[in-house]
Amino acid sequence: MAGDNEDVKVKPEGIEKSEVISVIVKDQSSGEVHFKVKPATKFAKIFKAYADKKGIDAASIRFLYDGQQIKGHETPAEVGIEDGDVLDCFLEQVGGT
Amino acid sequence: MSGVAHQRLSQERKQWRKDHPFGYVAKPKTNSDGSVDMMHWQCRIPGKKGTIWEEGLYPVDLRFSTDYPALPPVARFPAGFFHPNIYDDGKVCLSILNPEQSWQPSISVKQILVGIAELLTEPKNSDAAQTNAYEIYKRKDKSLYERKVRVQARKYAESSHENVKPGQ
Repeated sequence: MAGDNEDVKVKPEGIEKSEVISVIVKDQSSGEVHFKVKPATKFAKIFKAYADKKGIDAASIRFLYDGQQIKGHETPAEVGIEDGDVLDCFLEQVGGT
Repeated sequence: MSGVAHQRLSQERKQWRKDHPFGYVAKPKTNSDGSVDMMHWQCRIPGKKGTIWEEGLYPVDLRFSTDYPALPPVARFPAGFFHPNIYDDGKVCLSILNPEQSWQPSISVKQILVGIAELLTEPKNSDAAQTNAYEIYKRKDKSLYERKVRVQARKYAESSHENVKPGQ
């Protein structure tokens, strides 16, 4: 939880640079996490990396792109995300039900 | 075709993808045949936290003409939207969207949406656009005004709640 801007690599090294895109996740308090991912990386992996980084439960977060919630089985390529695009991360708020 | 307008809007869209206010949505409409209508954007503005507007995610349409950016877009909420400065048909009455007032070609889509968001929580007493909300607001019937805004906020919270499922 040090700085607000952090780089997280979801894929190991050794991939072509051109195959990697930068996806930026912003939260309510305008904290940013930058991910370097392959366009074909499943978002489930990115959710987990984000949750680990923030020390929260992956089930408690949702990423929205253009107002649409991204699902774990989707990839940046499928959703139409390009290099440098920003996603909004919402924390699930559970009411007293 | 509408070269300048189209070019500028592509640029606006590109910037928006890289940087937008948290929780806001702004994208050109996708037609049923999959083509994109660059002159018609479908946007969403989240109600400001800590205000009577906070629960809602309000849909706003921006319609650009071929004269954009010399002329501003027309911004519209759904018809019947409750707010003193919004016409019965949903059209937003705001100085930065008026070419005879404060519109400047340099004003970005982001600035327009942030300006509309500010208008929601800070209605202008001088520009009555609908009588319903304006009368209630003007006669300082605070509890009725707030109740109506909250009911509306809840109504527009529904569309955002479709998305409220945890990521897996």
